[in-house]
Amino acid sequence: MSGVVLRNPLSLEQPAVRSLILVALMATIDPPSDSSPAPVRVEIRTFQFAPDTARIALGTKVVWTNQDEIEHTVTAGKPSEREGAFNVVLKTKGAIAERTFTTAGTFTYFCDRHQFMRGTINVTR
Amino acid sequence: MNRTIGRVALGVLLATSASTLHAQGMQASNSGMTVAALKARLNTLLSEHVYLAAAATGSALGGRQAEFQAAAGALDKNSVDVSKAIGMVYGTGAETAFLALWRKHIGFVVDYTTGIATKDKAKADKAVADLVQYTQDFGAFLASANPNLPKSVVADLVKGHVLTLKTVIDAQQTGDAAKTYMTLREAAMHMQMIADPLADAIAKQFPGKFVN
Repeated sequence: MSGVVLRNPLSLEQPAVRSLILVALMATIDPPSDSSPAPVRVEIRTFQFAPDTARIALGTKVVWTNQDEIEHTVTAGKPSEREGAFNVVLKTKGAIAERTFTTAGTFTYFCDRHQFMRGTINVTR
Repeated sequence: MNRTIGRVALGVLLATSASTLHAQGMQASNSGMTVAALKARLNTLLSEHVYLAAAATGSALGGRQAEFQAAAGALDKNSVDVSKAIGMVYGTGAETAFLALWRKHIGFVVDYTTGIATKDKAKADKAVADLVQYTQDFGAFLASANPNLPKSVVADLVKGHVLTLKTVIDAQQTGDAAKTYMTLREAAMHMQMIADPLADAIAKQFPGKFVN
C-alpha cells in the first residue's frame, strides 16, 4: 500500500460540498428570475412558415427552425419592401434563427430565396 | 445509366425507410385510391407537363404568339393540377408552396427559351444555372414532405427532366423536326422515372390510404 488516504469526494463534512448543496436547494426553491414569455416556435417545412401567422406578447422570443434540406432566410418586410430589421440565413436543416420582439405591431417577413414564402408576427402589449 | 441507378437507389430506400410523417400524424385525405391509379394520375400529369411545355417553347421559338399564349395557359392549368395532386396528400399549404415552386421552374424554362431565341448566351446560361439550382429546391421540398424521397435522388431525377427538356428546346431552335419529336418522346418518358417512385413513396408514407 502506498499510504495514500482516499477521501469520499462528496462527503457532507466538506464545507464546499455543503455550500454547493445549499446553492442547489436555493435554486430549486427560488422562482425563476427571468419572467420573459416562453419562446414561440415557427417551423420552416416544405417551403412554408408554420404557423404563417404568430400572435405573441411583447418581449417574446420567436425561434425559427429550418426543417428543409435547403437554405432559407428569415427576412424582414416583403420582397418589394424590405425593412432591414432582420435578415437571417438558415443554411440547412436544423439551422435556427431567433429574434425577440420588443415593439408592438405587425411584422411581416419572407424567405429571400423563395419569395413566395411569407410570414407574419403580430406583437401585442 | 445514371437515371437507372437513381431509380434503383430510390427503390431500395423506399423498401427500407420508415414513414416518420405518418408517425407524426399526417393524413392523406384520399383513402381508397389504388396505388396504380395514383401512379397513372401522376404519369399523366407529368408527361402532359412535358408535351405542353414543348408546345409552348416550340411556338415561342417559331414566333407564333397566339399559339404560345394558348400553350402557356394550358401548361399553367397542368401546373395547378399537379399541385392539387400534391395538396390532396399534403394539404393546401403544401399545395400553394408547391405551385409557386413549380411555376418558378417554368419561368426558368421560358428564360432559357428567350435566351436562345434572342441569342443571349448570358441569359440562357443563367436560366440553366437557375434550373440546376431548382432541382435542389424541388428535391428538398419532396424530401421534407416525404422521408421516403431522398433529396439528392429526387434532385438527380428532376435534373434529368430539365436536361431532356432542354434537348427538346435546342432541337426546336435548330428546326430539326425529327430530332425534336424523338427527344420529346424521351423527355416525356423520363417523367415516369419521377412519377412512379413518387407514387410509391406516397403510398408507403400513408399505408392504408392507398390500396395495392
